[in-house]
Amino acid sequence: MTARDPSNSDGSPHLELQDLRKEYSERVTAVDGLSLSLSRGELLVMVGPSGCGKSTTLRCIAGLEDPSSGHIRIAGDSVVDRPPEARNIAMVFQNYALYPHKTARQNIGFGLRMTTNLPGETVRERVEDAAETLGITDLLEKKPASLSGGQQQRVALGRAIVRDPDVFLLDEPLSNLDATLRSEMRTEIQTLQRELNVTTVYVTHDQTEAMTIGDRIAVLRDGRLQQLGTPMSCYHEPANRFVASFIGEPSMNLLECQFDRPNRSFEGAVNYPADDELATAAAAATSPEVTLGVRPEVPTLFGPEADATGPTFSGTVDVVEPVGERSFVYVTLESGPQLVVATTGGAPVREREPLRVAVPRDGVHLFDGVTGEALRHPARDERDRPVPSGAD
Amino acid sequence: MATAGEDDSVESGIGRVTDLVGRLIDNPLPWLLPTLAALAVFQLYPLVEAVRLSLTNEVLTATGTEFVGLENYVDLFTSTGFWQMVSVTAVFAVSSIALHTLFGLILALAIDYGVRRGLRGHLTTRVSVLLAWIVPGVIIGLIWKVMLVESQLGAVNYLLGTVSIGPVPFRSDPTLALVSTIIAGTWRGTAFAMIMIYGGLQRIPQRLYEAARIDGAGRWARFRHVTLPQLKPVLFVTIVLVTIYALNTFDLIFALTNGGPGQATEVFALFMYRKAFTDYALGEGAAVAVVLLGINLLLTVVYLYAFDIGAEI
Amino acid sequence: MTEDHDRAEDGGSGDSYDGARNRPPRSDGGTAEEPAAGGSRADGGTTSASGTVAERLPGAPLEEARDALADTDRRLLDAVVYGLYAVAMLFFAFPVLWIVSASVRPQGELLTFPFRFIPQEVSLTAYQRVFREGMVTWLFNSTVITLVGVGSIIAVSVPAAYAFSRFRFRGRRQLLGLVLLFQMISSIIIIVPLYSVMTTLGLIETRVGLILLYVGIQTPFSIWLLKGYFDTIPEELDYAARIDGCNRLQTLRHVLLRPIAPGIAVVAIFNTVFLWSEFVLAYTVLGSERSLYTISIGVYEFQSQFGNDWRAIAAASVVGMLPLVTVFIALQRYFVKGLIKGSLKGE
Repeated sequence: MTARDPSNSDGSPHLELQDLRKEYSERVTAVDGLSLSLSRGELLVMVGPSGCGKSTTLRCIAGLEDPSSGHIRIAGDSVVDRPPEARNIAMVFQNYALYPHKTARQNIGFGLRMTTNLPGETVRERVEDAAETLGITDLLEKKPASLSGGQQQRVALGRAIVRDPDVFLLDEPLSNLDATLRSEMRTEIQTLQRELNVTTVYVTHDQTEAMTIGDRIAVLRDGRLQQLGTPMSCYHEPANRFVASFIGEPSMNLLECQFDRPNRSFEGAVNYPADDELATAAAAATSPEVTLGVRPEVPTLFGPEADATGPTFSGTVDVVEPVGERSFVYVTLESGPQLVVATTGGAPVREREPLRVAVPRDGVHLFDGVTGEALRHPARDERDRPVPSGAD
Repeated sequence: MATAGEDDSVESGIGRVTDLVGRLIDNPLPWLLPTLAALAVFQLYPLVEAVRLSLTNEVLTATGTEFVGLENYVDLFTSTGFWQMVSVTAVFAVSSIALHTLFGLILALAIDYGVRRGLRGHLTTRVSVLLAWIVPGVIIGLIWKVMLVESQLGAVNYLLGTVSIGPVPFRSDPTLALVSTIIAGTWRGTAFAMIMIYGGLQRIPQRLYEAARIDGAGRWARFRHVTLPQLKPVLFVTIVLVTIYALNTFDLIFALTNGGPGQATEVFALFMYRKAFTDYALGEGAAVAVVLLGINLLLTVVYLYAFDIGAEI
Repeated sequence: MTEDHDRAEDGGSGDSYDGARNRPPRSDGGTAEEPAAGGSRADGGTTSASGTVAERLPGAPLEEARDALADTDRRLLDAVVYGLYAVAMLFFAFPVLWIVSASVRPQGELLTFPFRFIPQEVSLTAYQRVFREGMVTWLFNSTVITLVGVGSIIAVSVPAAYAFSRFRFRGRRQLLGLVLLFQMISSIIIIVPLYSVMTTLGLIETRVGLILLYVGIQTPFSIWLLKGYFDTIPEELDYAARIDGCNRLQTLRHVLLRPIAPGIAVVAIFNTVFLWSEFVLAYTVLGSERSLYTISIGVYEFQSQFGNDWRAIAAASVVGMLPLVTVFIALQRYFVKGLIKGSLKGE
């Protein structure tokens, strides 16, 4: 049937997208052959820059848009031909989309009233149960305009959970909240999702949010899946250059080079001698063009005179960004490119001063310069292995 | 979003009817059908009919009708009556534009000022101005007829009489009759300009005034460099709409002077009406209508252009 | 109204004396404009500003002086604005009040010196005359046509505005352009063919015909205005309703209708004023059947019949405008708000 995800194969997939495609016109393809599957109770985050197709995918799952082709199955049943209310899904929108003239109680109960023939008493009970779960019992008689952002968010969640859905769809649910509330609500959504054990697709453009909340994350770009895996595997073993730069804050340093096979060395943005492993990986590239990827945590900084191990580059400090425990140091190398290096907060680095940057070879990612595909990742201890993506 | 024209066979099952309704209302056509029908029958068809009539010599009282090509238009453009009417209309329109817009601007600013300063009377003023706009056009004509009459209840002549002027023949002197229609028109039309401009004033961001004050701009400088430029698109739109409105004025003049004395206050719409329904020359009347239509279309283009300017800001 | 106006006059003249000595008078255009001052110093506007500021800022003589100057300046402006209010009220309200006053004067009471605004005696003979000529019929016809007409216009334009706001279909822009075009073209243009058109359709001399005609004439404007209201409602609300099990009709009824209610009110206001006042179309369609006269036709025919009886004409005018004016004054707050909102969409 479809490519199953080996790491989550406990039981049959609960929500399944197969070769989903959505074209708005001949030129505009929003979703381009997307296949995903979620096991019951799993929280998958779809992340990507705006216009990557994540919201369209969500709307296709919800039934708000008809896919151009492909299948969507919930608990094994194809739902493509079903209207949204018959899919047993619930959705939370970025701007909450609460009905402005209805009270919180009416907002939460509206779906039950429209889709079921439950007696008023039952609806009341279920609304109150949902409200209690979310701690908004006091707010039930208020209208959205008199609620704060966080309270509106809870009502929107209430509207979703009251229907006891098979699948929970969250479209940028935290974007309209300020920073403090955001982390609070993030935890709350996570807890709620675990408690209810409901299969959830969570869309966000914020990679930090994606990393912290998801069981797995699906990185999308231009309607295509770039990588599907745990947050850690996406961070440590990005499938390609795009994922490498998108996941992680600050972004991975990417250095465009040519691999000089006779000299076993990378030339270009930096001149960097390769070891056996790097040379073997670079040899597998489609051309001499390759990209070296270095996470900001990997390099170490030295004074101009000090001894260093491994290849080093000379440069000048542009800016130091202290963020507390750590500082991000922006260094312009003599050969041209700028590198971001994470150091401890107290490191004695001053702006406009020369220094040397050591980049150990065992911390270097290597990407094909033409296709962008990963050729080599630094070794790491965890078991998680990258999941081959459906896109190429 | 579902688009029109997707027509799959209806699913079998229990919800057949609901499904059919659901599919029907997922298509924009049923939503638009009443509007399209109404527009076709009561806007498009009469317009086409007007154009057709203008090419015939149809007369209301006679039965035989012939196609005469552009004869009606040629007759129209070579008649002195037409050009006299055009000049009357031009005077009426230009004065209306100037007076409505100027009074509207002054009143809008005064009311805006009063609202912000908490002055008494701004509400009563606004209600008074709008009151004039609420009164039906025919009745405005009659009100001013009574106001300006030369005897008995004519308040204006009475008041002039107390300072030994008059009686002034407001409706029988050609020039004064035109002045009277302009005054009555202004009495009615100022409200519209005022509301438009007042709405425009509310949309000027306060921070512009704050910035101007920090830059040391006085009251006049703020008006000159903040208010006026910000109001420009609204003023332009207002002027275009007032122009369209003035050119199509009918009921007020119909009741006040009925175009007279002679042709002194006969504007476009009255001229057309007289041709068609007093002289029974439907063909000629239709030709006037088509000319008026052309002018309306031209002004609409200008209006659309104005709206684009408005959208930019 | 007059009371208010008197008070305004008093306040105005007192201020202008103070102001005139310190500042040269300014032109109208420049003076009637002070939004920022009101915004940033709302407190100074209502209290005696120089005193309060001096208390708040001890030891700032310069500030105080500047403030005193600004205060004088503001008072002068206040006086000018009060003057404007007085002139405007006089010009706009006087004719209406005068016509009321004239309509109740007894036959013989002429204008006397000194000018008497309120008549010595009240006589309703003029109204009796209008009543005999069919006033009740006109009022009835106008009321029916206005109510049914406004209802029909709303019933037709709400779904159309919804469609233009929520569907993306081929030709949408063109169709919207066409609707705008019809909005801009004056209905006066169609009066020449109107008689034959309405005859062909069998709608001549029928109220239904006139109402349908009004629907055709007024929906373009109403659609544009309502579409603006629909466009301000985020589409997520529709999606949420869809997921809650509403089809489009239910979405409109349960979810969208309430948020656009203010827009519907504006449309109702504009169309009520238009339908009640409309003359030419009504005259062409119904003008040959006395029993179908609307108030505008009735009053017009009445005055051409009794051309010299100014009292009776005044009475007829009062009858014609009174219903609308009463409603307007009762609801003027909503009127003004609605008019301002609707202002960008034209008349």
